[in-house]
Parts: sequence; structure tokens; C-alpha cells
Amino acid sequence: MSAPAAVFELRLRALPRFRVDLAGVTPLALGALGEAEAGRVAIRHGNEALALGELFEIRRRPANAPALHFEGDLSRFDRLAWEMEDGEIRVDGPVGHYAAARLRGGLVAVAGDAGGFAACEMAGGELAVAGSVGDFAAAALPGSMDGMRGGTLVVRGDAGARFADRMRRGTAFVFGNAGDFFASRLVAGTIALGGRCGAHPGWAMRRGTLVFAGETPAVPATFVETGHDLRVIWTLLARDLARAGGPFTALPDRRVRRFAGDIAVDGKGEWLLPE
Amino acid sequence: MSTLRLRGGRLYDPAHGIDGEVCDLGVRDGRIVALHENEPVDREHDVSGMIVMAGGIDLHSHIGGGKVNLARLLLPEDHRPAPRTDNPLELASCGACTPGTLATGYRYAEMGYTAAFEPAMALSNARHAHMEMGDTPILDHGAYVMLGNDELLLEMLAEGGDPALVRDYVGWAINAARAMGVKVVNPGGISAFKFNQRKLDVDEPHVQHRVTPRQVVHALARALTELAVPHPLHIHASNLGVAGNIASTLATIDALEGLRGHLTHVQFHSYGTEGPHKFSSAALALVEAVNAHPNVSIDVGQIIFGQTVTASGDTMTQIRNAALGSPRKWVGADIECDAGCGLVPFRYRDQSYVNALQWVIGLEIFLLANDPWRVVLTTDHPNGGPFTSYPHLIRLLMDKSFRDEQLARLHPEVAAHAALREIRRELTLYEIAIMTRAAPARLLGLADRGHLGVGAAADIAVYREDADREYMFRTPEYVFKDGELVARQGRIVATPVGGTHFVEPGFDGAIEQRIARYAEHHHALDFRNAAIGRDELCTCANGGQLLVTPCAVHGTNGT
Repeated sequence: MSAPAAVFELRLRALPRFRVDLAGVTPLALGALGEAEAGRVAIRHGNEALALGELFEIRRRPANAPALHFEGDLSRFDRLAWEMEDGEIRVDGPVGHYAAARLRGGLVAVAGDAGGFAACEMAGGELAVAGSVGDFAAAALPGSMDGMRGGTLVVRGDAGARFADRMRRGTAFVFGNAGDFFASRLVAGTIALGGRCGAHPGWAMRRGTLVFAGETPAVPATFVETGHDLRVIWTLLARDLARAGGPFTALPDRRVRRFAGDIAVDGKGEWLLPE
Repeated sequence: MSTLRLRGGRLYDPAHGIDGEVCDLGVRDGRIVALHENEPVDREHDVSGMIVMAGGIDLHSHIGGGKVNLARLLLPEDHRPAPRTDNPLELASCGACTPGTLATGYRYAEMGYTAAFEPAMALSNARHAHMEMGDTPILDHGAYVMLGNDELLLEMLAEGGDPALVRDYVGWAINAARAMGVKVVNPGGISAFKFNQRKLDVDEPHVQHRVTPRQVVHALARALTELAVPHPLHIHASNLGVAGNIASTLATIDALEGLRGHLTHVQFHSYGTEGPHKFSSAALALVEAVNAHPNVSIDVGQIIFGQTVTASGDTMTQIRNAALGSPRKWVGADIECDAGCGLVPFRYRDQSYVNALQWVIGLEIFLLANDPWRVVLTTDHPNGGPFTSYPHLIRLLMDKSFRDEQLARLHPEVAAHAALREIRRELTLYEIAIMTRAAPARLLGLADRGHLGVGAAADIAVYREDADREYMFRTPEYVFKDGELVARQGRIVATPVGGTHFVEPGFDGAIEQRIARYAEHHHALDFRNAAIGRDELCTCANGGQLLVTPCAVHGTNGT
């Protein structure tokens, strides 16, 4: 038996003094609660516990699907949608670190920028960031062997360094530019980049697909052109990526060259360079 | 002056043969004293119906040094799911199989342990080990310095192994490192590994020095006997984890030739080659040998199912285990060719035939051994499992039906055939008190710890009687460290600084010339910085007490 769904509107009262940990504040967790109860949910603020209602004005209204709508500058709020299973979270401004990290399902939409480790180890669902993301987006948490493992990440701005480090499944888009070590140690998955990237793209990537729709990067010595006939797969892939819009819209009309690498490791990854 | 009385508790103090006697316990200024029944005291706790024991002593737990720190670095994910404490006394620290120094102190103290000993301190890295242990609150601590794979000792043995020379070198090393004893890890094997040998049996010569593990073990055991160091040679025998290694273990006991030796984590050294998987329990053979050799003591190194990390000086073994790592990553290191270091994360699975059998072998050793005074309860933290699983382990040993329940869940072949099924023995509280307090204290030569006699340090754990022994040992009602209440119902209430245990055996200082010459040619560290002075140790140890255990007069036999 599921509780009746509800949308919570959470308006930030004032910028908190310390960083706040939002883990556990998910649409499903709050869904069963009333307005007052939701306000009493404990979260960490610096080294102390605080009630959610002390930081946010909370309004609840019944809805068909569980959702949280945050209003305000959440750049000091970390672990938004951490390990979220389902539901929808929308933020009308920026958020802190670990946004949608370990996401399993549902939708997270951020109107501003997101900090470091956005969508890291995400396994399902979607994170859409209208602004930029910090370093290690779609990558692994420190110590973990795998980065993003499923779902979709859409970054309409730029990405920091180590984007998709150790990623092993799923699809990621960066409309703008990416930092150094773009898709380093990639194990699998598909990444499309609309702008240019920093040094060492695809460093030590084992498998996976990188589509450079923007500026064509210099191809390192550990990547080799394969000369395959790609027409069928490219038609399918390009059409799919084009749905994201922006710099990817014209992909189906462009011819593509394929490079394999990084042959310093497994060498089964591919770079698709549209002309 | 402050006094304390615990009224009406049931005392388990095996050092004095006290087995559940109801009696009051008095404490004055951190020491146990005889208080008159009507003497007024500053604090009195009514502990009637509760069980009173000395504080637990773990004589083999990897809690400090380079290897422990590398394990933390290798497994940051171990520090992620830590429950946040609401206890303002606890500073931020977390980790399950690689706990931070602070968490190590808190978690040990919470379950009634008041001392732990780091078994594998590298000579060249002793400062680091002491600093980490000094950073560990509440617990008293000490460490055994690793010898037996250092080039200088092997050189000495290759030259004929003049016992006086070896004795003085060992004496110097113990003093320099401020150690409580000496541990030998895979005798000669870690060094042999560097010369490309991938195994070294007890009578197999080191390819470079032509020295055998038998010689190394005997030479070190003899040196410690001559130096009258109370703790016998702490031996991590050859061929750890290899099927059929019971032969090496028995040969190692033989190599002692009657000298005292402590075989550590013997579970990992008690494997036969019988059965369809060519891997079987040799617990009975091991226990028979231990029973027959009163010069030998053991700790078990029980495995506990779940995630942990194996941390060992035994590079030769760890490079073999690296492929079995889960998650699949590992790190190895070496400083100054002193010894070695290898860390491999590992997940013990109850559905794995090998792991299930390892679990069974450990319990068989506990339950078959007939002299608990020579058996110490350990999981070789973190190698067999984190020390926080001790209460679970105690329940397995004390509760046959609980043990059978767990056994039934294991790999079906193990569950169906293990000799453990037929072992009815359930350890008593008295025996548990021996294995976790009295025996380790006696094996370490700690005269004023591990018991509740007058004059002993008031390290006391008080447990509320509960049929569920796991719950009982996890949440002691009161834990006192040197008479100060440090934990109440499993919650830390004070965090005093622990002391450092070490020994200062006498030796002929002439040996320093040779060590200095060797260091000048081969070491990166300056010999003049090798030894840790008392003042420096005090700083390293966070200002804690320096607890020197006396060695008997030089040249006499300490047994």
C-alpha cells in the first residue's frame, strides 16, 4: 500500500552558516508525512542536527506523483537526492556537492550549477543540470571501483575535470566544455561532448564511446583510426543523441571517423569524431 | 585521592582462580585495593547480578603504523556509511574494518577492552606506529617489532649466527623501537620474495642468504629467551593460507626446540589437503601439537563473514592473494628492506567452501584446545574480521545452538561434514575471561593487568547478565580505565589518554657499531635517528603513561 503522493515546496529561509547534508530528504521519504512532520525531519548542519523546517518554509499539496520543489540558493546543500529511488526533485537555483550521487531512479533537475561529484555512482534515473557541474561528475566516489553505472546525465553548461572518471554504463551529455582528464579510465557507457575538452581526454579508457560533437581534440598516440564502415550504427546513435538538442542536433547530418583506444590499457574504447 | 566501590558483582578473575564469586571490588587512585565494607567511598555502583571482569586485552590487533594507514587510504569507502554519533565526547572518526585511530579507541572501550597490541611494527617506521597508537584514545597499547626479514639479521645468520650477536641486535631493536616484543612474519620469506622466491618452506634455504626459516625462528626465540623478554617470540609462520600448511606450522613448533613461542593467527596456518577440494581442517593436528608443547601459545585469528581488509607484513602471501581481492585493488610497500607490507581488501563469504572451512577451523581450534591459558581470542583484526565482531565470536563459542544455526547457513559441504558439528563444548565465562584478559596479560608479562587482584590497574569491565552473550559483551554496563569510568552501557563517557607498554631488555651496546655501519651503507634513514628516546616516545604517545614491563635480569631465563 503506498501513501498518497504529495508535492512539497521548500523555500529556503536564509543561507545556512555551514554545509547542510540533505541525504534522506527524498520525495518518497517525505511523501508519507504531513507539513509539520516534514518540518521536523532531522538533517545535519555542520556538526549538529537541525530540523528541516528551521531551514525551509515547507508547503505540502497533494499530487499524482511524489516531488520536492526547492526554492533558493542551495549551494551549501550537499547530497541532494542521495541514493534516491524514485520521484522528482527540482531546484530553482544552484546546489552543492554530490547532487544526485548514487541516484537509482527518478528525476532531478537543477536550474543552476551543481558542485563536485554530481551524479557520481548514479545507477539509474536522470540528472539535468542547466548550469555547470564541478569536478568528478558521473565519476566514482573516492575509493570506489566504478563511477556512473546507469541512467542519464545532462549538463547544459560546462563540466570540471575528471568528468565520468571510471564510468561504466549510462549516457552523459555535456553541452559546453569539459576539463582535463575527460572520461578518464572509462570502462563503458556513452558520452557526448558539445564543446571542447582539456588535456588528456579518454586517458586510460578501456571501453565505452566518446562523441566529440564540438571542437575535435588532438588524437593521442595511444588511439588509432579503425577505418570501419560505421554508417548503420552512426545513424542509430546520432539520431538518438540528436534528441538532446543543442550542439548535438546536427549530428545525424555529419560523417564520422572512429578511433580505438586507449591501447595503453584495453584499447576497446572508441572516439567518434564527426567531420 | 578518589575511591570507588563496585558492590555485589560476580567476579571472574581467572588469575586468582575466582569463578563467579559474589564480592565487592574496591578502587583507590586507579588501582584495585581491598576496601573495608563500611569504608566511605567517593563513588559506589551497585553491580549486583552483573559480571565483573578485568578490562579486555587484545594481544594481536593491527591498530597502528604504516600498513594500517595504507589500509585506510586504500578503502575510503569503508569510512562512508559510518553512523554519526550524537555523543559530543566523540570526535569525528569512522570506519569498520579500517577504523580511524579515534574510532578504534572508542569501539574497543565500548565493549570493555582496555588494551590492544599492534603486532607488526616495522623497525624503521616505529615512530609512526607509536604516534597512531598514541592518537588512539582510552586504550593502553604496545607493539611488537618485526624482525627476521631484515637484511642485517639474515646476514648475521648467514655468517653463522653468533647467538650473542643476534641477542644484542634483537635487544637493540626492541629498545630502539620501544617494542613490547618481537614478531617474525613468514620467517625469511619476505626477504626471499625480494629475491624472487614465491614460497619458502621451513627447511628451504633463502636463495641469497642460504638461511632457512627454521634458523630464523630458532635464533630469534633464543635471543628473546636470553634477553628475558616476557612475551615469547610472536610467530606468523611460513605458508600462510596455503592448503597443507599444517606441515610448516608443526615444523615451526619443532624449530623452537622447546623455547617459548607464540603462534599467531593459527587458523590461517592449520590447513590440510584432504577432501574433494584438496583443502581441509587440520585443527586437530594443530591443537594436539599445542597441547603437547607447553612452550607454545596461540591466538586464533578467527574469520568473520563480511567485508574486511587483510593487512600483513607478508608480501609474499599478499601478492598471491591480490587476485582474490574484493574490491579488486591492493597495495604493497616496503621501507628500508626491513620487512614488507601488503594490503588486500577481502570479503569472506559463507557460501565459499574455503571461507566456510576457515570459519570452522578457527572455532575448532578454540573448542578443542584444552588449556585456555595458551589460547587468545583474536580475529587478527582486520585480517579475519574487525575487532568489533568479538562479541559475536564470544557468542559462537559460548552457545552451541547459535553456533549450529550459523553452521547450517554455510556452504553445504562444510555444513554437512565439519567436525565442528560434533563438538558440544560451550566455553564458560571463566574460560572467556582467560582467553580475553588473563591469558594475554600473562603472555605479555603484564603483572598488574588482566586480573582483579589488589594492586592491579583498575581496568574493569562490568557486564549485565544476558542470555544473548553477543549483546552482553557488546554493551557492558560499566567500563573503567585506571579507575575512571570511560563507557556506560556502550556509550563513551570519558576519553583519557592510554599508556604505552614496552620493555627495555639489556644488551651489549657494542652492537651499535655494526648496526650503524650497516645503516650507513644501506639505509636512507640516519642511524642516529633510529632509536626512539623516552621523551620522544612520550610525545609520540600523546603524553600517555610509559609502562615499562621489566625483563628478568640479563642472561637469565624469563620463563
